[in-house]
Amino acid sequence: MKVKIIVTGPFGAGKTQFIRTISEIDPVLTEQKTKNKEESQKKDFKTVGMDFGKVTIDNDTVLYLFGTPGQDRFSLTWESLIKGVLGIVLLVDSTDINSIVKARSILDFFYSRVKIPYIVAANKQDLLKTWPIEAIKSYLDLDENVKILPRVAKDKESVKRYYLNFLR
Amino acid sequence: MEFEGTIPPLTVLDILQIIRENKLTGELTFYNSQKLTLIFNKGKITYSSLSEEEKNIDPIVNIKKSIQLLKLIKNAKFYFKSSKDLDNNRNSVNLPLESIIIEISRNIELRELTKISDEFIPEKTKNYKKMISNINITLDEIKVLNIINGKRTVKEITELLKHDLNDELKIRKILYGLLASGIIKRAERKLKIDLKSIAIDPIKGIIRRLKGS
Repeated sequence: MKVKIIVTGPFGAGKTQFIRTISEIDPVLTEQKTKNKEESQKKDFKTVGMDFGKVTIDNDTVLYLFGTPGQDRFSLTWESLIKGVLGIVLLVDSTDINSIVKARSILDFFYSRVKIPYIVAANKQDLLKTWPIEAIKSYLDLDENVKILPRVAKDKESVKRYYLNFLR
Repeated sequence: MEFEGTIPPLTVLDILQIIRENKLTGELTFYNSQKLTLIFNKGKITYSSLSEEEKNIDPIVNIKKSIQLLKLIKNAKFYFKSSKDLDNNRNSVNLPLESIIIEISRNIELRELTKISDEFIPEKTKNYKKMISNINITLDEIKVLNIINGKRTVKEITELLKHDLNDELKIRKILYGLLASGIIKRAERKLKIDLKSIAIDPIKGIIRRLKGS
C-alpha cells in the first residue's frame, strides 16, 4: 500500500527539513535561491515545485511524503497534490507569529477540500520566545479531531514520535 | 503561559480569544502611544489600568473605558504573562469576555479580517443558545448565526446574506465576533477515510517500523 502524506505550511516553517530528517532516500528537493529581501532574511533557499521523500514501512507499505511550497502563489501546486492524499501535516514556525497567521489560510485551503486526518506540528519549540501550543491551537481554531504537537524538524526521534501519533 | 507579538498581523480579538478559550489568569499589556494593562482571572476581565486622569473609583467604569480604548488599538505591541496570584484588592470584578468581544468585533476593519477566509467552514458550538442569551446580540448577528450549518463556507454564507444585510464586510465582522467569542467554531470533520479500515496490518507495521528503526 502506498500512503501519500502532504507536508505543508508557510515559508520557513521547516517542511523541507522535516522530509530530509525522516526520508530513507535522498529527498528530491526543488529549491531555488531566495531573492525576495524578506524571505532571504529567514533562509537562503525556498521550495518552488515540491519536495519528495519516501519511508518504506514493510514489503507492502510505503509512505510518500510530498512537501508543498510555502507561498500562497503556489496554491495551484497545493491543489494538484491533493488527489489520493491520506493525511496532512501542517508545520508552523512557533517563533514567528506571521507563520502562524499564514498557516491558518493554508489549513482553511486543505480543510475545505479534503476530509482526511490532519496534524499540526508546532516546529522550533526548542527556541526562545516560542508561542505556546495552546495559543497556537486557539488562533488556528483547530477542531477536537486535529492534534497539535510540539516538534523539532531536525530531531529524528521527535519526527518519529510525531508519525506514531499521526497513525494511531 | 507567556506570549507576545504585534498588532497587526494579530488583532485584539485574536488575543482575547486565546485568553477566553484557555481561561487564562494573568496580565495583558498593550504598548503603543500609551500603555494599557488588563488583568484576567480564569478568562474573565477583572481589572484595567488607566492613566490617573482617566481613572475612576468604580472598576467597572474603568473596564468599560478600557474597552473603548481596545476598539482603537490597530497598531501595537502586546505581551501576556500568566500569573497564579492576583492582587485581591484589584480583583472585585469578573466580566465575561464574550460580550466584550462581540462589542469590539463591530469596530473591526477590513484589513483585520484575515482570519475569516472564504474557505473557512464554521459551525455553532453546543452551548451557543445559552451564550447568546447572556449577550446583547443584534438581529443581523442572529441572521448570520441562523445560516451557519457546519457545511457552508464563509463565501457561501456571505453570498446567501449579502442582499439581505447588504454589506459583505458586516457579515464577515459578525462571523469574526461569533468565532472569537466561542459562539461558533471551526466545523468538525467527519472523516471520509478511516485509516483503520484501509488495512490494519500495514498500519501496525508502520508503528512497529517507527518504534523499531
